[in-house]
Amino acid sequence: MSRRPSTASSPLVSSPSTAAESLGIACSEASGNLHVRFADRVVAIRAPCAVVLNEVAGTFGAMAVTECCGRLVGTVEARRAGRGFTVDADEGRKFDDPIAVARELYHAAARLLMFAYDDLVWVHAGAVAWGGGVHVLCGPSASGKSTIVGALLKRGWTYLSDEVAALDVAATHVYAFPLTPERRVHEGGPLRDAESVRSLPKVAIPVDPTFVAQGSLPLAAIHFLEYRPGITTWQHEPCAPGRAVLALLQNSLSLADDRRAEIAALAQLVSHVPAYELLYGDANAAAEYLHRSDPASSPRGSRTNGRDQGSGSATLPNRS
Amino acid sequence: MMATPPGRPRSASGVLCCEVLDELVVYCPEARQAVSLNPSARAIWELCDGSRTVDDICGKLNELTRAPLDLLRADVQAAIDRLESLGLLAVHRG
Repeated sequence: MSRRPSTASSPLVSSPSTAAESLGIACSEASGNLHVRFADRVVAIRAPCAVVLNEVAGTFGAMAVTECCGRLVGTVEARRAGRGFTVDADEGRKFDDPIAVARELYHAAARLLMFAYDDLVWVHAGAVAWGGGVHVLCGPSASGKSTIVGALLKRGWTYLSDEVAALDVAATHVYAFPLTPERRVHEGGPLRDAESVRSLPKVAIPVDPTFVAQGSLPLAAIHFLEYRPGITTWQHEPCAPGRAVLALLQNSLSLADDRRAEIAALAQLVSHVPAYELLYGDANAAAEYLHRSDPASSPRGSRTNGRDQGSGSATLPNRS
Repeated sequence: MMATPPGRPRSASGVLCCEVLDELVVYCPEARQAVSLNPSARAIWELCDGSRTVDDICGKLNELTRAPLDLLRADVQAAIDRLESLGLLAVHRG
C-alpha cells in the first residue's frame, strides 16, 4: 500500500517524477537519520537517500521527531545495493523504487514499536475522538476508515490514527498513533466493489496539529465498517459480543503468538465497550450520523446484545 | 485417555474457549478457526463433552427450554455438523 503525501501538505517531500531520477539525482545526497516516537519509545530510521527519508517522515507525520526524545527500542536501516536498496538484514530482497523502500522502512519501524508495547492490542482501524471519548473505526483495506476519519476531522473531531489503533485493554484507553492520514480520491460515480476502491490513488488529509491527540484517551465505542458502493441507506446496529471479538481478531495487527491471551483481552474489552456494525454507501453521510448521534450512550460496564445475530466464524491468518 | 464412545461429540483436542458476556468464542489453533457461539449454540457446545449422544443433548435441552424435540434435533445436528466441519468438534462415528 502506498502512503504518498501530497507535496502541498507535506513540504518535507520532494517527489521526482520517476524512480530513475530519484536514484540518479536526489539519492546522491548524503544519508540521514529520522526518529519516530510512540508514547515514550523511539525507533531510529536511517537511509542513504533524502527522498526515502522524506517519504518515511511524511508517512509518520506527527510521530516523526528530529531527535531521539525517548527510549530507543531499535533502528531500521536502508542500504544501497547496486542501483537499488536493501532494508536491514533482508539482503535477499532488493528495492529499486525509493517509495517501496520507504514503505518497507515504515513497516519495519511500526513493527518495532508494536513489539515494544506488546501488552497493547493492535488493530487495523482508525481512531477519532469527540467529547473525550474515542471511536474506533475497524475494517479491512478499502472499507472507508480514512475517508470517514477525514470527514469527522472536518467536523472538529480529534485525530488519533487512520490506520492503527493501539488499545490498552486494562485501562480501556486508546493511544494515538498519528500517522499522516490519507484518503482515496474518486471523482466519478458509485464504485462497483471494494477492489475498485483499493485501486484509487491516495492523498494526504491536512490535520491541524492542535487536533492531534497526545497520549491516550478513553475508548467510547467500536464500529465495524462495511462499505457497499451504491447503496443509499445505511445501518448502524449493535454487534453481538462474540462477533465483535471475531472481527477484532480478523483486523488484528498484533505480532504475538499467544492467541489465547489476545482472545481473552478482546473478550474483556468487548464486555465493557459498546460495539456496532455500520453498513453504509456514503462516507460523508456515515460521518454525519456518527457526529450527530451518541452511540456510546450505554454506560460502560452494561452491554446489551441487541438482536440475536446468531453465530459467526473466522479463519485467522498464520503469524510466522 | 479413555476413547470417546461412537456418536458422542466432544471438543477437538487443543481447542480454547473464552466467555464474552453470555456468548462463547471457541478457537482451534491447529485449524486456525475461531467461531462465536450465541447463547443457544453455546448451550449445545457445553453439552458436547463426549458423554452424550445427539439424542441425549436434545433431551437435556428439551428439559431446559421445553422446545419441541424434532425442532431441537434439527438445530442440534446442524450445529454439531458445522462445528465438526470447522475442526472444533470431534465426533467418533464408530
